[in-house]
Amino acid sequence: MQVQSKNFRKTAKKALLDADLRVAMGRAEGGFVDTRKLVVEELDNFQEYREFARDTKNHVLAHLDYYLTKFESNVQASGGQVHWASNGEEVNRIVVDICKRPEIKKITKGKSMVSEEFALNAGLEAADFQVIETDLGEYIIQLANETPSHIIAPAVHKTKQAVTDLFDEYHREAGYPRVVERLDIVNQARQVLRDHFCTADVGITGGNFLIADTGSIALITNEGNGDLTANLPKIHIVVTSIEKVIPDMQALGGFLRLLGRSATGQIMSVYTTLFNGPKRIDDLDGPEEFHVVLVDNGRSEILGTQFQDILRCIKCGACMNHCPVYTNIGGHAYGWVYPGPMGSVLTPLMVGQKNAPDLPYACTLNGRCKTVCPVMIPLPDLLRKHRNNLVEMGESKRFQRWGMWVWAQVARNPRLYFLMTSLYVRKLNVLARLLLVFRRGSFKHIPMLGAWTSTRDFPVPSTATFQGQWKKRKRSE
Amino acid sequence: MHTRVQGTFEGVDSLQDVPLAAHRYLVGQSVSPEVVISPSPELTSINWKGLKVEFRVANRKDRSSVTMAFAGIAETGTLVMVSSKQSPINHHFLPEFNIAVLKQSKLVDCMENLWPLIGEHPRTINLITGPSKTADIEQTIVYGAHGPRALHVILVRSTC
Amino acid sequence: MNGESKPKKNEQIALLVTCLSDLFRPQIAHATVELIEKLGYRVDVPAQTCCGQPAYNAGEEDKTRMLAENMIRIFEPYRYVVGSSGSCVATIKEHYPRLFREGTSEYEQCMKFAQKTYELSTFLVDFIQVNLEKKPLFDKQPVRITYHDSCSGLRELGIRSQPRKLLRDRLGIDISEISNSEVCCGFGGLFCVKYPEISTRMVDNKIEGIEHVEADVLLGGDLGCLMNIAGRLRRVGSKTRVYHYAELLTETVPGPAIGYQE
Ligand code: SF4
Repeated sequence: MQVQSKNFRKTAKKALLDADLRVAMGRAEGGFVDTRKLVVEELDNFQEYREFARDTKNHVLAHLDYYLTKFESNVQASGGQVHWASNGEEVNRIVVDICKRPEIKKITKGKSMVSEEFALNAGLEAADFQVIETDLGEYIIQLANETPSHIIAPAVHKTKQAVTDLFDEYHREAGYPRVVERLDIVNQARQVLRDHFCTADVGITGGNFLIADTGSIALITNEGNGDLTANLPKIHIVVTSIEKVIPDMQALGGFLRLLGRSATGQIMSVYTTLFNGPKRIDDLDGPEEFHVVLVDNGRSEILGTQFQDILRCIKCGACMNHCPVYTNIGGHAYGWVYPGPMGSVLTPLMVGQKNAPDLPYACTLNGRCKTVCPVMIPLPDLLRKHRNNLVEMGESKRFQRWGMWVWAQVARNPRLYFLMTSLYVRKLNVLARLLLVFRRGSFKHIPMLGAWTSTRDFPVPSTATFQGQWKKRKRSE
Repeated sequence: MHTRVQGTFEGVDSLQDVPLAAHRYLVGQSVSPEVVISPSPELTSINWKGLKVEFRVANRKDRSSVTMAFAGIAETGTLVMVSSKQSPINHHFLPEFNIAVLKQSKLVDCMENLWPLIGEHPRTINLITGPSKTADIEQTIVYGAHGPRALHVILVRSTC
Repeated sequence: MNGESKPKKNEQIALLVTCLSDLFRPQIAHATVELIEKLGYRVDVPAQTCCGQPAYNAGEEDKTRMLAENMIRIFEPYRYVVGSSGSCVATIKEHYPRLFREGTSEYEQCMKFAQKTYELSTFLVDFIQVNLEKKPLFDKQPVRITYHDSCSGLRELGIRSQPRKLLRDRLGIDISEISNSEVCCGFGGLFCVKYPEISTRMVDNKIEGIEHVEADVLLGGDLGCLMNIAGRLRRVGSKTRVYHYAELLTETVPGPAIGYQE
């Protein structure tokens, strides 16, 4: 996917003016937040599971080679093939190579955020395959020729009306009626996609967890599209990334308790499937070939750095559902695959800090994301580290750097600070008296502080600082 | 728990009672009593009087299926299906109505106690918790996105 | 150890003034002094500057460390430090220790400072365990009061019930809660000037909540957020007035609200 993160400022501003987006996001925020809260409170040891998940992921990340090799040999033992891809180009080449056979034309695809990183669909289409997204949300944005705006609800920014229009445009030719009601929309998608499921030659899915001990891929969906994608065609390809490996089945239970609750407020998602290799000899159905493409794409470079914690992410989306910035501007403003808090941490690491300079600052550091993250990633702290790196690289705005320097020089010296602040409040008060004939107590406009005063009043400071008043009190005592 | 995840549920005394229960359920849903059944010994040995049944792999024309659950997880109301020559995977996903038969003796309290029962992994283990659903249209839940619209569990109490 | 056991009568407590209160709202610092003195302690205000929070959040770790060393030195002689801003106290308690390497003497000093520093409401409720005397401030008509839980105080220091208890004890009223009391108001220090449009949208969401409960007064524990909300409320012509919670706990009826003059 093209990196557009440099335009954050502009796109965020535009997003704020989008009335449809506002309605859609408002609905999503309430739903996700409230339902999560209910099911989390119900589990009396949720915090213990969070700690368990954090520790398990930390352990695996510290021994990633070991677990990945173990996973690989167990996939092979069950008859599957493992392919290693260090970057997106390699993934695209590997997948195209697997599919390059005369009888293969149609590819169905379950939701995979990893594959968005390098536009797998475009790569496959360029090689003349027909690619159909089967997750309803993904299907909608594929028709709309857009990118996901949320990692678990890719079409969260779309209103029902927009979907009605889209379906009308694309399905009319095949004789489908215009559908307005939610149920009818879903039914129509079901019919259209059913045809594709049953005629696809290859199915590509992602994977949520890779279980080293058994070589299993755990795939979690609510719609069931992942299973139809994986089971009906002759070939099942899993495109997934290396940090998703966990040690064993016992660990899986803990992660599942966290994931459903954090992502959608479910005690368990509808379909959790473990795939182990291709169809067995006497199995009655299932694919004949099973491939796992293990994608690095920059992840191993994050290992061992101060940002390693972000590799614990299980892509539940809770951080964005609880982010007051994300819920107001939506996911597209972030300009790449991963939006919200986890995106603001991950995107600069994956596409380069210079290509996403605004993201680390697109946060008030309110910390709500950190309190809900099921694997306890200290997201605000990581954003602060990004800021620190930008400062050290000399990438922060010069104006800001100088301002900070001057201010720090003043602030390190209490006497100077006292003088400057006393002077400042007096100056502002004079200014206030000059400017504010009718509006007592607040500025409506301050030159240089337009970013504040364009929408907010600014209080007039007191005539003397507290420290000044205190000195006076002490002297008179 | 299964009803909380929007599945329906009923208990019967023995495997022999399953056909009647399945019939009643399908008629109640206004679906004709034709089912494709997983060829597991438990299901093939029953007398399916009153229903039109076929023991084979489901295809897209089948409206209803009957499957035999390997186990159930009480904590989450989850059905556990393992693939084998007795249990095709498509039965759980292609038909609109899925009736799953679960023996009470096969209930475990949580997932951690399930894995030892399975042992060596088959091609797929499906943990199914309620009917298929989506919230992709305006975050409002609609059932029957791609998998079954309805999932009915028949719990068999007898141990034999 | 410093700051661990309750202070004795007449013991000296240092006030952490905080920059914004120093410049824009001395009333908050005065109220804090009054509350502490009333409990029989002596308050001292050593000449102080800024804790460095803005620099820290801007990613300027080196400058923050410099200011932190400064603050640690200034407050070194005291056994207790109390401040009326959740975010400044959280900077000292939660973030200062990350600026120094564990095991160094600077780190030790820093930890001592962190341990002995309290946010006002946690100091009064959790530490001293006071029960304020009831004394209705607004005698004429019932006043509807709501509360904004500022993020740092709420999530880093666990401040939620403490100011509510103080207000209940003192004023005999319960807070009319807004549904989004725990959602960020959009201030975020530099954020509000870096992203004014997003920030404004966020404060507007907050105001929607405030208007929904028809609050006469909004209280909070962090002046940055309060200036943001008050500034927007006044700009859109709202009747709601904004105060720091400490201002409503004193003996005297509070004067004009934030952003207003007699
Ligand atoms: S960072 Fe945490 S909350 Fe956000 S998506 Fe990842 S796991 Fe979920």
